[in-house]
Amino acid sequence: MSVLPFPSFLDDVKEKGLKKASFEIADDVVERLTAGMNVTDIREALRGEAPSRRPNPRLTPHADGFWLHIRPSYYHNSMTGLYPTFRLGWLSVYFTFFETITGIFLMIFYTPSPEFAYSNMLNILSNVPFGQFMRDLHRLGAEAMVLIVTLHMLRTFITGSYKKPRQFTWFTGVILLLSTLFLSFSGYLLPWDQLALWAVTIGASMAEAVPPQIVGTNVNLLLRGGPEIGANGLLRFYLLHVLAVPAILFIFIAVHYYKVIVHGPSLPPREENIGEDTAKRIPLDRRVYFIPDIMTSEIMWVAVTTLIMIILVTFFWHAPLESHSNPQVTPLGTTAPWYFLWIQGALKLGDKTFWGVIFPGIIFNFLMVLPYIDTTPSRRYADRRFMLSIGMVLTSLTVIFSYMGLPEFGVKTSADSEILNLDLAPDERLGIIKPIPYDQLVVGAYTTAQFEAEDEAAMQETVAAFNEEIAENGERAELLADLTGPGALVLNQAEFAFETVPSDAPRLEHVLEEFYGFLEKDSAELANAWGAIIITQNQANLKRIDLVISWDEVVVEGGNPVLDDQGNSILALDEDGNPIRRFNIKHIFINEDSQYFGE
Amino acid sequence: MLKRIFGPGRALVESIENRILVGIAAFMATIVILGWVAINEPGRMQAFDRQFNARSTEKGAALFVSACATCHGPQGHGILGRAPALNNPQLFGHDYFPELTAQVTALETERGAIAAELADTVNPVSDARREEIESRLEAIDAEIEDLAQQMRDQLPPAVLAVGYDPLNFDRLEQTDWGGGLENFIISTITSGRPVSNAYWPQPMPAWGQVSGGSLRPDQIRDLARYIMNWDREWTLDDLTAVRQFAVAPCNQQALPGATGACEDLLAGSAADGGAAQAPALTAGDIAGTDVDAVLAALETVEGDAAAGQNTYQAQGCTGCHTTGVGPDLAGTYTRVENERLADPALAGYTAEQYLVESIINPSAFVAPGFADGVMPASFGTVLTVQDIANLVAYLETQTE
Repeated sequence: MSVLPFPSFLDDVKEKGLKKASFEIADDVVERLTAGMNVTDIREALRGEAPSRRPNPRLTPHADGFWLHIRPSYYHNSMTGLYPTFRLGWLSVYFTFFETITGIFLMIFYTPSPEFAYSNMLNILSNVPFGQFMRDLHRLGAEAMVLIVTLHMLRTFITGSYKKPRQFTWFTGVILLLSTLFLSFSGYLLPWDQLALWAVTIGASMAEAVPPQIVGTNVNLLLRGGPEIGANGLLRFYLLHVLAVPAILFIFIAVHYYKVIVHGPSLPPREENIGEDTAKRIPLDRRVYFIPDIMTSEIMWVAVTTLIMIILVTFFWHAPLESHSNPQVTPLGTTAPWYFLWIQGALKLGDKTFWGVIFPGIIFNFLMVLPYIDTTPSRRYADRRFMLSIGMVLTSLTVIFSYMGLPEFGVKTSADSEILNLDLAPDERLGIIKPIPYDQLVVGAYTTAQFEAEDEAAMQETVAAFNEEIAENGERAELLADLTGPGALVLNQAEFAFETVPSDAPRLEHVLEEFYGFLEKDSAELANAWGAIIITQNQANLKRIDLVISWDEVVVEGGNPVLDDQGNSILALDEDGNPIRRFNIKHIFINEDSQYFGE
Repeated sequence: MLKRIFGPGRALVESIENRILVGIAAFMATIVILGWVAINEPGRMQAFDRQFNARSTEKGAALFVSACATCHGPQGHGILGRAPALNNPQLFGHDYFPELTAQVTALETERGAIAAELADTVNPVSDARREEIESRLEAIDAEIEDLAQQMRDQLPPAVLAVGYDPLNFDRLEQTDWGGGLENFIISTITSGRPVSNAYWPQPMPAWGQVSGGSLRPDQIRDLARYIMNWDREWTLDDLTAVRQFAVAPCNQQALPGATGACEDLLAGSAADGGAAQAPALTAGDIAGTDVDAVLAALETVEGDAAAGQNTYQAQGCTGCHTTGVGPDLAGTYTRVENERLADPALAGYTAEQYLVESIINPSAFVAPGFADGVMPASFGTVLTVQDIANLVAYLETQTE
């Protein structure tokens, strides 16, 4: 007779007592949740004991459950060490989920509109608890994912794992690599800062070079949503970033992983006879079961990798945010993201269509069809000297081209502009002026002529002589006219004179000396040059710094000064045969609270 | 080799107990770091705000130099007759005489109350009361005027000469602006002052992209932060440094067609006893913009043509006056003598008077064939009387 009019838990309690009945029902729930393992089975697994009942309950979650149905129930023990996988495939999946989770957090605070995107970034950084933390994680994870996916491909190539029967697995892997690259690249635009706008402008301009022209023009228009990247372009990149490309990525991850399981993870080449594939035939004594060994190992690696990421973003690294994007101002030294530097380097070799589109196209197409071209059966290193050499050449080329993509290579800007805008006070990066502590920016006018003195004692005299010299040759008047006229600097002109850097500003003196060094280094192009740092108080907590370079113009051809027989540069002369004196002046402002030196 | 490096690590994670331990330790460490981050978040966000605002003023300062300084002056002190000061205690509503102001406010409150009584048509006041009120109103006006005079007496005369009214010490009150000062500034930069050419030679343009200008909203906020950064403990010196105070929009009905009222107001602010109250200038004083005062001072100051040439170059005069943008330097004096002084508009001028006026108030007379507003009106605020004397001496050597 039931307690209630129908059979229930209470009958069990009546029959077995509360404790036993409760335990049984909990056990039952656990077994349902795990699709086959009860509390005792789990305890045994975690203790490293053999299962106490047959059939082996540790296999049923794979057979009956959803979550583990795609995971193999056991692995070959040559596969579970660091070699041959280096965990790179696993890490790629880890970062896919890592990026999804951190990305969703950021989506909550983001609007894909040029009006709001940048202020959203500021809000995330200044007003959202854990906002900077999540943004840093997302950005660092993206860079790490690009690196890891690439290394995963390299590893697969080196161990010959793309060979029969895994050709299609490799093919889907190349699609995953492309998706990863495009995901990372499309994410660049979203903060809508200068870095975003110009990195993406460089990238998207390659779409324009796709031949024939009608295709290139329209692909470019579709991608950017107009001739210039604006509201439409941002929205499109956003949708690609959060919707289209992730969809492709997840679909191909599924295909890729399914293929990995179907064929089994490939064994180290030396373990198999040539032409055989024994990954699916794992002898009993070499099996490592997923439950508990692989699973505990993976959970441990999730914890450790996450910890490493968190330590990095908490103590060592923050995602950069430059100033608001400005299509009118191109910061000097703009580059593509580092993983596209090789394309930027190739572009410097010549034709945009060939080096920017066809060349990368050939590379990626070569990668896709590689397993169908290289059909030799042996995966052993000794038998694959040719392909391994090709791999090494391609890798070296990528490194060399990436170096060539740096602004230091092959881009010639006039020396004065380079010193002012790259070395001293770049618009976006720090340079050497901004990190000078605010209290060492002592109001006054200082000149690199100070360092022409033979020793420290003579500096004051040298500067005094310099003052007289420029007053005589008219450079002082010209300098003052430039500063106060177009520069709108307020100066007491009558009393304006250069002085030596005070002794309590060692950092300022050091920077001025570096400035002197830059001028010396470029003395062929900047003949008889002197530089100056003029510091004035603009507001109570705001100083204005005018950086001056004055030099005699020399004859320049193709970006390099023309040298005479003695290796000296030749002065350019005006109509009357006099040297032409040039001035380049840049001013920046530094606020007491800007804390550039803390970076 | 590899075994030696990875061996110990591998041993650590080889047994299941160790894996569980390492995993738990890593999770715990993660939680601890998250806690550490959480504790520091409020401080970090505050620091970010401070740093961001600081960098924003830097960007604003750069924009100010390129977009605003030509009219509002390089230090934001304004330029007489062109645009008002922003580095200005009046803009920030600084009250130099809080006690006197409190009395004025009390009187104004009283005036408002009895004036309302007088204006009440439903319950008209008795004739006796009317007389009482009228006399009281007069008395109040006199008292306010008396208080205002007390304030003026404590102010440097030069400040009053350029139009400072101690009763109108707050720009926002003057314009009946309902919001805060930063919003006032943002709104003014964004939308401009469409009718301000009624009282300035050039209207304040609309700078915001939303209003057809060139600046993005974030740039306008940078500018506003820079201007707000002028706020400080104001002293009388700050008031003296102001070259031009804001002009209250004058007679609404006169705008925008009839500008007479506004011109009177401008002329009034410049002429109102400027010469009468300002002390006589000496050689080292900044010349200012009062031609008569400078001319008076020049009677005792000797000019040096060589020094004048230096000043001429240092001030960048050659940038226009040798390149065709302005009248050519060569032959200036000959042309002044022969052509300008013959112009009926300059009847009664001396050559010196014309030159001085042209330097410190270039828009007063524009040489035919050249545009107005090109020559900066700010020379009176940077040159000393001695500089002017030197310049005049130099220009007198420019004969053909």
